[in-house]
Amino acid sequence: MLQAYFESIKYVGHLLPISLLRIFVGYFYLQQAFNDWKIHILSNSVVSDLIVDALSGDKMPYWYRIFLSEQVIPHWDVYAFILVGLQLAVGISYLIGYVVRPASVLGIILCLNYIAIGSSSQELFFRLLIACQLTFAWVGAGRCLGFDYYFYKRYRGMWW
Amino acid sequence: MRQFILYILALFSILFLLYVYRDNSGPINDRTNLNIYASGSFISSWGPGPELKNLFEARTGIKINYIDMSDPGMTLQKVAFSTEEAGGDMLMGLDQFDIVRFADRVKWNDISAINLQIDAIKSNPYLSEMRSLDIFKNFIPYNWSAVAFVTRTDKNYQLGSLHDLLRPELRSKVAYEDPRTSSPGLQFLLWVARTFSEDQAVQFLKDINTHSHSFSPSWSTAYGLFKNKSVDVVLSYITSPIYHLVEEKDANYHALDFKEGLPLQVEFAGVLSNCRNCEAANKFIQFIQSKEAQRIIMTKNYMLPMNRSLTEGTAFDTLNRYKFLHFKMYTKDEINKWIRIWSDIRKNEG
Amino acid sequence: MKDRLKPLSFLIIGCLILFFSAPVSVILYNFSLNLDLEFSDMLIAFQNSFVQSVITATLCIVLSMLLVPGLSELKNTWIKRIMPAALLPSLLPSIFTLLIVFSLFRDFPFGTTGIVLIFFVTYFGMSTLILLNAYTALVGKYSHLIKIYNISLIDRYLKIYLPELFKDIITVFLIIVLGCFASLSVPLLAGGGRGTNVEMYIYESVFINGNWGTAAAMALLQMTIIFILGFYLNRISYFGSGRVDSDTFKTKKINLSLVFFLFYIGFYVVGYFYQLIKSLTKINLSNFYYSEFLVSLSNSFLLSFLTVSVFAIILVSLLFIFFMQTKSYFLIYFLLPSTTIIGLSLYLVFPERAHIIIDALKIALGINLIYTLVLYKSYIQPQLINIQSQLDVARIYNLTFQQSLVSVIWPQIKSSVIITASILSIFCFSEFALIKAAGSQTLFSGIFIERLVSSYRLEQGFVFSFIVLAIVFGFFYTVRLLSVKDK
Repeated sequence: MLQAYFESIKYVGHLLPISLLRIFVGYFYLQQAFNDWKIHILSNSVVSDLIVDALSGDKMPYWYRIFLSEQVIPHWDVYAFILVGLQLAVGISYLIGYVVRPASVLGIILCLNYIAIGSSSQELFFRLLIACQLTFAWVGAGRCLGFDYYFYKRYRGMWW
Repeated sequence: MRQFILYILALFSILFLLYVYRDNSGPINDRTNLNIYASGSFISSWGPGPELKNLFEARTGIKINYIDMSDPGMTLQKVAFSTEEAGGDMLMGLDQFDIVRFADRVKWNDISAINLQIDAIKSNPYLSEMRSLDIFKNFIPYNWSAVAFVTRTDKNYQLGSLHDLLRPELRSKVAYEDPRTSSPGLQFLLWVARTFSEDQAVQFLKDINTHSHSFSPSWSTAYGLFKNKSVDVVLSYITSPIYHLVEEKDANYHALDFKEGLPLQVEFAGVLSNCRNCEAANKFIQFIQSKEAQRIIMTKNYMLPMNRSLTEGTAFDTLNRYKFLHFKMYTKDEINKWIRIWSDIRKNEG
Repeated sequence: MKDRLKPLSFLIIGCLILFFSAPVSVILYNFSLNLDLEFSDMLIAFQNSFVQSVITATLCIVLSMLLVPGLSELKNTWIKRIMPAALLPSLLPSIFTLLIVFSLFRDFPFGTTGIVLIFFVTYFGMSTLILLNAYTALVGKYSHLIKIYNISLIDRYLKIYLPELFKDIITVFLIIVLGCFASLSVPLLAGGGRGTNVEMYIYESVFINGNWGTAAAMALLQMTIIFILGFYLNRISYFGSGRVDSDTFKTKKINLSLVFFLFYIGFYVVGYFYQLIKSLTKINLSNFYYSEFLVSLSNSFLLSFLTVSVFAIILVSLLFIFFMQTKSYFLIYFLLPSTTIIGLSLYLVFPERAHIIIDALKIALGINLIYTLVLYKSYIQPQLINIQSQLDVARIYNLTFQQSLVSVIWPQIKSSVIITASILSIFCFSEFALIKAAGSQTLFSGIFIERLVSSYRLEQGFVFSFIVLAIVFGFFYTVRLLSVKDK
């Protein structure tokens, strides 16, 4: 598997620039995950306040607003744990190039969530991130400098 | 897709474990936390540590975190080269030998102003030398005991002096501790040095070397041999029979009174100069000198309190009949000299 | 494919060398090497250590080699289940062995004899099991030939057993020598004047004089001697052999070898249970520190999990090197004897007060530093040597390492790996010297038992040690039962 990781540069080298971008985005997600783990999980800061502030925004779809207020706010600590876990999953996935396509889908969902609950100044950044992740999913960015190449050689299919 | 699901599940399992085992103790430099180096037996559930902690926390609201120290000398060495990262504010369990041999490796705070034991020490004739010492600037004594030979009452050994240890009937029946690795062993070595002239002491040690059952690396091994009835007499503490009487309801042990007097072992506490919460450390130093804390230490640590009046009405009262040697602080050179003599005796007699 | 992966195998060897040499490197980085050694003291220390360890190792190996051929012929599965009890002396704290042996003697023979006796009791069971394992893997097929040609006893030993098992004998020899070198309490207690050995010299340097530079120099010297000795001995050629199905030749239910070995196990086990029953009659079960015990047990399970995980990573690396046929024999003799040095290096690298998982990981690394190579050499490498021809075929057919690992290597070494992992886990439950030296603040079961023993509560220590062993042996017996098919 390790051999395939390095071999991929030789056979799918045209994806190398995208892979480098993928690794950078993965590092960003990982950093966010560690920060959020420290702030929201270990320090038990109240995430529900952030969500309540976000409810007053106008970008949120109605159904999502109901979902947040009915389901998420009463169990804000579980929500925070799941969010951090998903950020970590996407970050590790991008860094090592494993299951990048499904992780990109997850990442896009996360970014949509941040657009909905974040401020308008951050919206452009998250849109850009969505575009990057769409590209990762489309070209299969995990195949170059990633473990997806090993599985792609064996199993083919759209998930690699 | 299956691999992706497994990957997510594995990641969340690890995160869950990290969440469950997360550290809730708070940051080290929190002003409401006090970190104390103490021995494992002190901080175990059967030691005085937990009760002292609960009482202190209830009174002051300051949370105590005990740091297990394997050995005072080793701990002080680690503190010496850890400097900024060292987490402890104060240290308990240093005896007079540790202070002389190891305490100069780190810097200590001046706590002479909070020494509440002056009157207690004054009233104890065996601790009179302690009053004139400089150690009170940096260290506070909080309990003491005496090293003695302990035997089973049914054995009926009538030993009254160090010379009696060389009686023929005691050949291979007495367990000692090695002075190089054990505090009671070192006490015995210096007890001999103090009692006899140098030549007599060397000869006595040579005779003991061949006459003894063994020289264990630690008190626990020697005491284990004694309890296992491999030996009839063991070098231990004067308070050991009290433990058996109180905890095991066994009155078959007693400590032998020697006419030379029994050497004293005093335990001290000190505050490190790089303490993060020095105020709390000073409060704890004052606390362990209080009557309640001294009672807890006496009954759980099986050591005598600095204030002898606290032993009245307890099993420890019976110890007041023993004769002790006056407390003495040896210099590092004296200790090293006698350890060297001991090492040579052991190497050459083997 | 093999050529492309060669650099990777060298990289892995480099990483392993860095890992196993890290403790001494850390100490030397923090403390300057101090060669201010008292030559006469050092000579006495090395002389004592050398004499005690060589005599013990020779005695253990000679007696083991006498018993092993007979033990390998046994068919009784119940007896095979009892045999791991022979590991008890090497797993339990040395104070238990000391008390059991002392209780047998009216006048214990202090001195070299006494030290050798206690070391022999500690290591004989382990050496017999390791050599039995190697014998079963390598030599059993000759049993039939021996019977047909009626080969004499001397010829059997000189021409068949010793050449076949030479490397394993050397391994066991080195394990015992190292164990004796690293022991402090046994020579000090049982040795009289011979109590000054190398570990005592290191202890004096560290604890009494605070001279870590000298301690590091001694540890480095010790390591180098063992390394050179092992490397030189390893270069002597040996005869490899194919896989043995020793079941074919198992015909007896009992023989003289078994009687002697059961006598050894029985002596220790009976002594241990005698102490245990004595302890049970003396303690008060209502005041038994259950909560602290349960906490220590759960922490030890976590430690055990992390230790086995680290072991798995190191094992896969070693298997990869073996698969790639990279010359790495010197790695096996990279043995670090001093627990004090390893403990202090871990203390210097990791924070003293850390999260429980970091604490457990610190100790897991330490346990692997001490035991992994030794256990690999004892239990896994003999099996690997057996399947070398199969791996040659796998390489010819261009199977990747992963494919070979899954289909060829793992099914055949699974049992040995589980035994090794079990032994490592058991060490996790009984280890305390390394944990104390590393300054770990988490309460593990070894520390809990040591605290009991250090404070008048020897009886409680005995009882808890028994409970821990029963739980651990039961757990791993169950794991073994579920994972390995009965033949």
